[in-house]
Amino acid sequence: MSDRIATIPDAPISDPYEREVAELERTYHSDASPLWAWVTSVDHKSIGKRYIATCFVFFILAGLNAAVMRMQLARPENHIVGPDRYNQLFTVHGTAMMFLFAVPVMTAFATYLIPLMVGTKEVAYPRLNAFGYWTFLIGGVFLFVGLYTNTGPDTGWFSYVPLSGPDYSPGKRVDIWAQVVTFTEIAALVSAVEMIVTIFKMRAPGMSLNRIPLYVWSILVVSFMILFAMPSVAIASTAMLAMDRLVATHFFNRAEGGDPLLWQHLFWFFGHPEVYIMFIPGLGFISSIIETNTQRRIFGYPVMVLALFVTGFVAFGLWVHHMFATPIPQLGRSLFTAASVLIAIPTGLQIFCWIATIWAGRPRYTTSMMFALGFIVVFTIGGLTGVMIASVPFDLQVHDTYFIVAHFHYVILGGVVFPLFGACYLYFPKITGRLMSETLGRWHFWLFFVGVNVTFFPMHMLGLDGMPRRVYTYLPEMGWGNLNLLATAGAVTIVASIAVFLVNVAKSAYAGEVAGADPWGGPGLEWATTSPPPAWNFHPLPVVTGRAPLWEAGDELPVATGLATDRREVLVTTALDAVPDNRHEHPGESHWPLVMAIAVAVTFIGAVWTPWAYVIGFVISAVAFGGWGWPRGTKPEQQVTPGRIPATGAR
Amino acid sequence: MIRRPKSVVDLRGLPDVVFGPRDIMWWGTLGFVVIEGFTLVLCAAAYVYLTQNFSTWPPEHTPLPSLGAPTLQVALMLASLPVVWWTAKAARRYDLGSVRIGLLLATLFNAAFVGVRAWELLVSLNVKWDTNAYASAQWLILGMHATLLAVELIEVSGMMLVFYLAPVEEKHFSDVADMVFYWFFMVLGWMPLYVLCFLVPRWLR
Repeated sequence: MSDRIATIPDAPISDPYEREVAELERTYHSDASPLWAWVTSVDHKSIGKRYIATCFVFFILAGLNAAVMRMQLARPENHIVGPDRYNQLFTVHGTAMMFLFAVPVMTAFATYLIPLMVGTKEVAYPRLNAFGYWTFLIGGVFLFVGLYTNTGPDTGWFSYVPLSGPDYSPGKRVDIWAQVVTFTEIAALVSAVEMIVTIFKMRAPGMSLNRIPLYVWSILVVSFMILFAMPSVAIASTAMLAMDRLVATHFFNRAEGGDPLLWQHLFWFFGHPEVYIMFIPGLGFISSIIETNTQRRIFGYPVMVLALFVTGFVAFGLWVHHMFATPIPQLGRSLFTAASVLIAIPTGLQIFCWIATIWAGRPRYTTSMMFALGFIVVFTIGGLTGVMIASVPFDLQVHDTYFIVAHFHYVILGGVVFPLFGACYLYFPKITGRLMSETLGRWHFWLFFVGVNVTFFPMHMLGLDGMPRRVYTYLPEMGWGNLNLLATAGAVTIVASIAVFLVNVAKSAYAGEVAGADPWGGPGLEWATTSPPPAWNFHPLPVVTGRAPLWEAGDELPVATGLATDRREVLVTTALDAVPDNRHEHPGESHWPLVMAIAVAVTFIGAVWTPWAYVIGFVISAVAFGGWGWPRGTKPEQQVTPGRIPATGAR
Repeated sequence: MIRRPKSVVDLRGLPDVVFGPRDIMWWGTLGFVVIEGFTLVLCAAAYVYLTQNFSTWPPEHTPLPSLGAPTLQVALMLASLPVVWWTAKAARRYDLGSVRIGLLLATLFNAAFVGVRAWELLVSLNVKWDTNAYASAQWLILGMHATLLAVELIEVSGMMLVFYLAPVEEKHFSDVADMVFYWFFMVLGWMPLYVLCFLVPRWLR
């Protein structure tokens, strides 16, 4: 501990504590109307909840696209939708599931959970957090407005050139895709910076790096991956593809020296790490679920942390395995095959650590635990087919067939959606104060588990039988009818499972059993505060003495006192050992994040039609920047006048 | 289980204004330096990738870029470094008068960078973006770095206005130091790109 920190053994907390809480209530209270208070809120929990809800709305909309596609493919020569509409459906399905659900829903949960898990009052930059959400929302709505006005992107979620270039895709469909990607990248990048700084600099006193919960590690690794992956697709889509289409640059135009393969390199340099960006937080959720439900610390903590880092690092060396069907040098193919097989090792290590934890613990088979076990089965199948297609000869055989569709749905549903549903059941009581129904939860799990396997397992066979992906129909003579019908039956089962989940959420939010602060007997700090937590999360701040603070605390929780209650003060600690270092005042409610997001929207939506939108958007952004940064004045003693040198080190 | 809080640490004596890596705003700046720096690296990689498609760079019948304004830009940028360094030192000792002068000079420098960058794009490159892939790549790198210059102009001019017109708080001095940190990235990050965009075409011709 720093020598500036006094140690107070057994200081009593009684009446002064009540007074401080009353003052905190005044400090965090907004005088605005409820709607305006909601719009201008910068509370990470409020932003996190709306982020989660928005992601699930996009998940349902994108899922409905899939349902229509499955109906179309249920039998040969079906005519529910034509080829043009079908192209839009699968493109928006993939784009929304990747850019508007799988990655951002993990961001959304992290926005809610990370400050609670590291024992602080807020994320590092609350207004930036709000800005990220509004930007994401506008981008997502823009995509679906495009689809519902028959201007939906129609060149696949990776929009390969030259198909997506100006010659083969006239109109505005691809431009919408390119700009939606930009919105989501901005949101992801600001969130990544937010998470890295929150985790490095705002942990509770005593939470040194070797005491961070595994979920927090997973978000840290993913946030670093986002910093290096997202710029690649942002350049490719906003600065190259959109410009090729808008102002006739030639990045991908072979006739003028451009290169279509440059698109694939830039896209997959982002796209492959994206897969790990989606499911590494899922791995973190699985650790939380298994640890809580077995009441045992995760076996092999250092191995788990190293495995996350190795996965994050090697993920950047795999992108060319998406391009095995293009002219790649032999050495490159061998290297990327080796890396693709190699990455199975750290993931395999984690699976063995979880199994060891369950083996040595006292497992409670709650719904969240069921989803964790479902994850192990489904994700492992997806991983095994991943090792198969890492081999170039096999990959060339199944490239662009339904085998690939089966593989990545097993990986994404297994690695993202199963852990996510498990996390919903685990953390719903923390967010709402009420438990979800376990009976409905079991219906949800089994319908989903059966539905996923019945939908996607037959697709392996369809792919091996030569059925290409992205076809809107097929001839009866191909013999694909029965397996497709089976897959559609599975899809109906998935729809039923999601309906059960939504009913469970709605019912439990109002009539679920009251949870209390720590309904599962969890080890982490998130369970030390009330459910739902107050605006300030913790008062006083918890102090951490081990890797499972609540299991080690007994009936007394060590805390740190002394943060101001008359302003939104947070504690900043050192990056490695979490020693208290300084206090930082956070801002209150603000509408400027929304104004800034609107400026971004004017820029990128306008740029679908005219490059002058960049100029107009820049001017609006400058105004928003001014409003955002202009001082509102804090305490008079903080102000500086010429000739007076303020005494730093004390207030 | 209801746990009784036991106070073991008092935070009252901690400072609430700090500089550099102790300040969370510095870490945010570092985050955006990493994002923008890597974006420029990827742009440069795309630029180099596209050179493979041509036997000469720039391609035949495409004029070389002029060196006058780009070299003036480099000189201006390097000349700004001692000024902003001095401003950061003044900020660390809460010297309001010096910081005001430093921010005014930085704003003038930054406005000059933007003006010269417009000249580089419209005159010095000697090609429009839609001429060929070489021209597109040149515009990409200069344009991408221009967004850094433009956004920094908003920031530094806004900060200058705060220091002249608003009630200045102690924490704003720390913000000035962070701005200078970003400034060094913006200027030094341009140097290899200047070589790539203006000197390499001469060597490859």
